[in-house]
Amino acid sequence: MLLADDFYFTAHDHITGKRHLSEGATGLGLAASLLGELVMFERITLDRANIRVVNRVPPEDALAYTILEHLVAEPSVTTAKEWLLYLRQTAEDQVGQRLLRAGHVRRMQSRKLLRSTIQYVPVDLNTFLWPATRLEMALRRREQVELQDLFLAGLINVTDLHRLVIQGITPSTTSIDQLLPVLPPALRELLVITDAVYGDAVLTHRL
Amino acid sequence: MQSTPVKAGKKASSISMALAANRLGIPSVVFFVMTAATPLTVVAGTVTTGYATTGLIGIPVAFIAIGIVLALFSVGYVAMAPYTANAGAFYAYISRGIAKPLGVGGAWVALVSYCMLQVSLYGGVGVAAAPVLKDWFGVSAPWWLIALVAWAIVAITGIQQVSMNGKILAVLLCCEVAVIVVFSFTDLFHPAHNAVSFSTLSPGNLIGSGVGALFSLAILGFVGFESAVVFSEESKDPKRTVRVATYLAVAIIAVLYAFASWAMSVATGPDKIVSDSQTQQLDLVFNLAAQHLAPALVDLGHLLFVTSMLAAMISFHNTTARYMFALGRERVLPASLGRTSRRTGSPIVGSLVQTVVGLVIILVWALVGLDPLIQLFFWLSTTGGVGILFLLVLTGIGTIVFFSRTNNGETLWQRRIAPIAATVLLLIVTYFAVTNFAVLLGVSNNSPLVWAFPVGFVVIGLAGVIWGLVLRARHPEVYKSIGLGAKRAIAEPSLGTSPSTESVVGQ
Repeated sequence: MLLADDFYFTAHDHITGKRHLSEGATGLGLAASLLGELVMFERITLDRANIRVVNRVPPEDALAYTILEHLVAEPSVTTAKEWLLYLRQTAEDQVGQRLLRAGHVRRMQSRKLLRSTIQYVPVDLNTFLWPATRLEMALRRREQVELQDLFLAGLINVTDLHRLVIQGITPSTTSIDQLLPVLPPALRELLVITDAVYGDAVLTHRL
Repeated sequence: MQSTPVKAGKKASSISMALAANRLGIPSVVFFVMTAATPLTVVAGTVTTGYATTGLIGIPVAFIAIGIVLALFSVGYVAMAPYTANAGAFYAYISRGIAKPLGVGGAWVALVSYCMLQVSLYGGVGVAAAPVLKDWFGVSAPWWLIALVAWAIVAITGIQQVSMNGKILAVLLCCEVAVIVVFSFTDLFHPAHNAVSFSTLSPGNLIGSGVGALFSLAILGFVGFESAVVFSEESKDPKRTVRVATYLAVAIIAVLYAFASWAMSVATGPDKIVSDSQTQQLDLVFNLAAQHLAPALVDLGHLLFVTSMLAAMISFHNTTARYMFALGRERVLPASLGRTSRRTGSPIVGSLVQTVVGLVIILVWALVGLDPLIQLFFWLSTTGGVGILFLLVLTGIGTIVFFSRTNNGETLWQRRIAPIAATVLLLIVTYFAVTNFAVLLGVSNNSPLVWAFPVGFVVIGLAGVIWGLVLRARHPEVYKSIGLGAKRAIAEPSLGTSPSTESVVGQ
């Protein structure tokens, strides 16, 4: 599973597929995960809050490839903040479609008043529960955590999702401040910028 | 870095356009500021109570004078905003410009001031809604019961983040302004003694005794103008949008309030504005209108007065909760205040704290039997206004000091002339506000309240400074982030240092 898939699973209900977070926070978390994937594929890196493409070889995943192409095509937009704000507008739908293609969700159209909305419903609830469960077990047993899960934990923390999905972990062990030092610099910087964008969105009523 | 300059043109504009579509233009920012200002609350509530309590008639000209001072102040304030991480919060300017411990002191004063402004409105709404309930439904309810209903509404919207649907607020605001304009012109067309008197607009009022009380009242009317800069990074043209929006907001507020408060005095006659305000209180504006306008229009005005107060409460509630959120994120206050509601993204803990404070105040005032209009609405709001005045002075000094060190092409006017002129004027205003505090509250000079409130602010401010010094000694990592608000983590020195070789963590 890719990072954004894991965040999608964690940020949506395992039965209904409804969001746990507000639309804005979900989009932001997914946007950060999508950029995080490219960092882990070693296609981009972060440098003083700017995104820099380091390798243009297409990644295997189609969505990751699309986003990389987009980054390459727009050299004038470089700050991670702008990319987060831009990607967050479409991230939820893009990742939803990726999960649809992989067969992890079903598409369900529901009508509310005059608007029809598309909802992605989980095929197997265990898929949705697994990332948080895995993370919780690792934290509980004080085991080593994979890099991807570490970043996921950071994102869950930034979006205040951890109180819901990871129970019984003392705040100090999941605090973003504690996670930061062990993340590689690019991911750490991405997480920190996501945290700032999230906080700004709260202060400007735009979440 | 690999780049493809060829394709840049068209696509680059597509992404900027996608982002720009989400950004705010001047009208949106002005609307945001004005909805927080809730004009009818000020005109029908603060102004009439102000006439009644201070016994002074110079309120209209005071609005103009303070409008000019704040326009001057805004020059440096807006120019410094791009350098200030948590723009929109005065303490961030104080931290950045003067010193971080003083910034913490400013933050505490700001928190208490905004909190006072918010809870004061519970008294106002209790009194304002009572006649509406009686006329329309024949129900007479005590003020505190109405206040508790309002409190519940505010508590729920604070958590739910019904985000006070911008469009609803904008419509309410337009209706309020329309009502004020119609009422005011009606007043002007029916002057007392058949002569339009300009004496309440005469600058001579500003050299009489008790002028400080007028200044404090006027400042109160402008609170909220400072929030436009919050949108520095969210606006279409960061350099221009926020600057123009701030000036526009200050100008609109000054003209509207001066005009409305002057029109009232024309209708009653300057000689009777004080006594009429004292006898009719919050009904004055509506009684004046009722003499010449259709009852339905006056009823509408009454209703809008109540919704205006509700909107003001919710707005100040959100301001206070977000202040706590920013301070919690910085760890200057407990980190839990930086928590947000999962579902709505509202600063839930800060919101709950403010809700509890509101409940306590309503209950205490009700049980002790204090007057909701004078002792809750007017005293707490004007005192909160004086707290904001202290912050304006410190922020003004902050901009002067900051621009004495930094110059990235700001003009001499932005860096020196306007900030110094504004700060000197604000110092004068503050001197009179503090020395005339008894006039403002309408109490005798030897009342303990006269010194209790201002000294209270100084004590809170000093406590904040001490806490700032404690942070410097004990928690340097927190000290570093003072004034950075949500951007706290970006300043962490750990960024950009050598990578940790471990990619996994052993907890």
